[in-house]
Amino acid sequence: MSHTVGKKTPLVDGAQKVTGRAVYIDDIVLPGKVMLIGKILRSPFAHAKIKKIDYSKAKKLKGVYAIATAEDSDNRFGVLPITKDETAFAIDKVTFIGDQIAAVAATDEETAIKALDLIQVEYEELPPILKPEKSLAPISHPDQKIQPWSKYEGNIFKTVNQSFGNVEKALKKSSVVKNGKFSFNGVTHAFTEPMGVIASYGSDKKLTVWSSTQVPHYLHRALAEVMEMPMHRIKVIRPYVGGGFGGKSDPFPHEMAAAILSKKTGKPVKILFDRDEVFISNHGRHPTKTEMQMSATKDGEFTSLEIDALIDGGAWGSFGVITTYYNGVLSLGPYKIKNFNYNGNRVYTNKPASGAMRGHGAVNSRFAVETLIDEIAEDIDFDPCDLRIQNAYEPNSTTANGFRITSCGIKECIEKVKIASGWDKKFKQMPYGKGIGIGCGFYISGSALPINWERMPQSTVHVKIDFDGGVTVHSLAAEIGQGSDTVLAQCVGEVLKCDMSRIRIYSKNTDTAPIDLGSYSSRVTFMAGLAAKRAAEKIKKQILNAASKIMASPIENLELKNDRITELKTKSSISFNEAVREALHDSGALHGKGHYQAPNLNPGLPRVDELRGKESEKGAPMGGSHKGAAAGLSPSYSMGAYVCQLEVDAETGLVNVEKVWAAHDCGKALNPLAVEGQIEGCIHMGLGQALMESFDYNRNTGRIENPNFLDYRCIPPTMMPDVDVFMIESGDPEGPFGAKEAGEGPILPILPAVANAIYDAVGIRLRNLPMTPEKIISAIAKKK
Amino acid sequence: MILPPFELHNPNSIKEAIEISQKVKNEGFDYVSGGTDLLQNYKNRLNVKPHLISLKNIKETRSIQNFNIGAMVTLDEISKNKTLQKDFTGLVEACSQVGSILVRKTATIGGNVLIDNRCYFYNQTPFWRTSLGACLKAESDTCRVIPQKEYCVATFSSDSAPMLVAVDAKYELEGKNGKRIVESSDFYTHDGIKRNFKDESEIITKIKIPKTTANLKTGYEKIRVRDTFDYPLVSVAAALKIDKDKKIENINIVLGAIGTYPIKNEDTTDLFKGEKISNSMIKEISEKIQKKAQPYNNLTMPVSYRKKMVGVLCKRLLTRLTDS
Repeated sequence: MSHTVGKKTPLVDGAQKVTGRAVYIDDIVLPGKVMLIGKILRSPFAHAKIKKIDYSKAKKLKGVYAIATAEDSDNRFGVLPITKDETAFAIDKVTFIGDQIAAVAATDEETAIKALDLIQVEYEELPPILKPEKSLAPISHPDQKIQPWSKYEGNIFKTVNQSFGNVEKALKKSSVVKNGKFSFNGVTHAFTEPMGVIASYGSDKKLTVWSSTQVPHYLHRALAEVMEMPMHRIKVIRPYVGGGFGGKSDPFPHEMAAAILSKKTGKPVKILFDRDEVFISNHGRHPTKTEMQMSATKDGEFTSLEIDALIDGGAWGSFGVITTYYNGVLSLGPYKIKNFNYNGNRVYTNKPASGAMRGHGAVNSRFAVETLIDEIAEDIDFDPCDLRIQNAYEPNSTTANGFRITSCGIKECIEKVKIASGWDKKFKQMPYGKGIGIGCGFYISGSALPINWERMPQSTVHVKIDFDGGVTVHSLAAEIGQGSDTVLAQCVGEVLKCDMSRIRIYSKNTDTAPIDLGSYSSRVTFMAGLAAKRAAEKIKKQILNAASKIMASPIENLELKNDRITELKTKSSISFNEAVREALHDSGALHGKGHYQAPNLNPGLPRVDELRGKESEKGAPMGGSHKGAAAGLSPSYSMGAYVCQLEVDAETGLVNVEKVWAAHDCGKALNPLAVEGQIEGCIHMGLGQALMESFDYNRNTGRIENPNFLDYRCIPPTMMPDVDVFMIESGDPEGPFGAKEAGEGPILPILPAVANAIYDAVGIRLRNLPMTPEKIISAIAKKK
Repeated sequence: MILPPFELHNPNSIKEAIEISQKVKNEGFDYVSGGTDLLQNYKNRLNVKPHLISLKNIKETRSIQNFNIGAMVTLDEISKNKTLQKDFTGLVEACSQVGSILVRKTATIGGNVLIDNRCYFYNQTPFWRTSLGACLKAESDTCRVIPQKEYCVATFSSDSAPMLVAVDAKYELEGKNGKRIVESSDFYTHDGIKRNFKDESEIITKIKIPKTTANLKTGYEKIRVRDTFDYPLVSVAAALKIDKDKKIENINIVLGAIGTYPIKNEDTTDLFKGEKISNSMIKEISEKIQKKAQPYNNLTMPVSYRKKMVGVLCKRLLTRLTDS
């Protein structure tokens, strides 16, 4: 029987949070020191040359300690080593409204704001490039190039062309072909806690940076590059983080600004964003235009899929190379589609950068795939659920592009929600205005190929036990509210069968934690979880060896359970602490180390580390050997199916989502409480993108029109539907205790489920998100 | 964004508040009641004054006596008042749909009838405004909605006021020149900056509702994308008096969030007095009112949608009120 795994476990840091004791970046006051407040001067133009910056007046203002500009640092950084296109401050030109030009450190916020007003910047305005279509065109003057280093034509950042099977041939044997032009407005993470950073450059010439980040390790690397300091003189501390969803998974210019200001002043500098600055920093889901075509035979076999995606990246690269691939390849499951063409272009525009956001790269294409499937079903007179089941992959399959699908519970997911929702009595049978719809999803459980191609494991975890019997777990997996500290505690606790109160997690500090790549890509449970499990197993062995000595019985006869070790034959037992203390004799604290590195599963292909610095022409550790084969490659894939029931007010266009039945194959729910929370949170976030959230830009100036929570509308708690969650446990053969991801994949099915239900309710198909009331009533009017 | 610096005054009576206002009037001041609207504008550095005179400690304006509502009564208290629930349903409907529950627990009826008009180009952060240039209502002399416009077209956003205007409620004001009572329907002006005819020193102390309101059928309908938080995109308040034969004795329909003040529609509704209620009549009234409605393009939903919703809400509200 399991000890903690599979049991609803309150988050280990939950009590601290709900009692207000958790320390977030804004709560941090460094003892005995003057802490300066930093504020950032931002560009009011989307595209302009900087002719002159005069900060002499600001410098003279009482209370101003330092002003930093590009004069202080011109080193480039970026989360992907192949596309470093960011700097702490804009150099020579600005590329979006909000671009950092200068930063001020002053005694207080009011003084810093006053100082910003005194900095005079002379600009020469350039025409902004705002439409992604325009960025595809070749440039006629160097000024038109948003990022001069880009090797592609025009303002293209990355082009991906992929083809598997033979679409042309497949179309010939198809009896139904559906296509559509879809468009998706940008959306952003809307996490609760604005970004914030404190940097302190000490007289020991060491730099400490506290930041609200999902990726302490990448921040650590970027700081080293920008500050030209060795990593061993830099320490990154991640305090409690109030949400991330991908929005804190890049190293950011404001983090560099704080470090530069602290070095200049010799004092700690804190920069805390206002909400509009969070919107300006964005890195949210890419606005995308997607043309898609899907075909099937009259017997309901999917035959081909073609995708053409134009992805608006904004002014920086961020995770964009990966986004460009994901818009294509993550559509290759959970259905068998053997013939596939993809053409994706991510382009630069003069807008705040797009980046990674929950369901990174998969959400928009998934919406298109799942709505086209419903259209196909209608044409060939299939039930949409049955058509999906018929085409779904079985366990241990390989996709057209070589993804290795191991555990696979998609059919069970669909069957579950179909029955639970009473689908057969509702679909096409409810009165006008009421509708029901289905959508599915498919997502990675951690990227098999690390961002930095080197032999370092993706996750390492240290476990220590000393005389007190407490179990200390060290990891750099970032707890951002998703429950990563708890899952590590569970993985260790399950192995050691000890009371959870023994376990303490230290995951905040790069000095003490072994490297983990961070909380993005849905990788923590799988990768850090395995590393923790392996570390704990090493400790367990040491404890059992000691117990074996005390009890004079071989290890095979001993059972570790509920803080005791029992001799199975004699039923005599000793306490956990007795065994630990015996193990400590003559050696000191017990120490166990575990790591995870994605395996090389395709024999004969080079290992990850052998591919360093090149695209994978020769192949990849799993799957295919084509260019870009590693993108979207994961040791395991999650999948899910949701049914949504809603009511459309055909006169006002307002949609009331009444109920969602959500089945997600997470392999094994290590903590059902957290998995449920993730699924409900995903539904909340997905409903926002489906119905009301939209990052609006001024068509002429490129300014964000709604950088506040009143005009950028997230779903309020009062509008959350009832959700029935079904955790499908397909038992992953490689994940820790059979687990795989449950944090991002669960967002995918909800958007198309809503669209398909709207069609069932009022007979309209909307192809652009969000599906706002005015779009709904005008589509209904057009149909009449 | 942190609040800008200001001096906070906490008088204990209306009289004292007015006295303070006269002392600081040269430097500039605002009265603040619940503060849910004003302080957000202050954070955005919109028309910030160096003195804030808080009405929080003033006890005399905090009660509901029959149909006289103290201006410092919160919207939540109005929503829960048994007499109003029975005799002035429309006001309860309007007040219980303002903002969110947290706002309604703090915001007062006096503040709500005086709420600042809203505009996409005005209710923005200082950085946002610098990146384009501000507007008539903030730091500039250009209207960003209609560039040639000489007055401000920011949208009237109170939920309670249209309902109060529909029943011919009166406001009691007290200022440096003493007390006076004004008709709610004469109180508001077309200019989104000036907004109303309250003298700078005056405080609204009471909302006086005619006793005859109890004989009316009143109701309020509002469109907003979310059922909480959002300001109205369009709203309709109606007060009807119907006789035994289902004929209209009196009818008032007032639109909110369409223009710069609560818009009455007597020209349309007067035509139907004395007529018997029917579905076709409701349709006709709604269409006529919709046709006349001219929303400005300064909220987050398109003008065409908001105009269409005027008709939908009118129809729904009249149907609801005449069905029962």
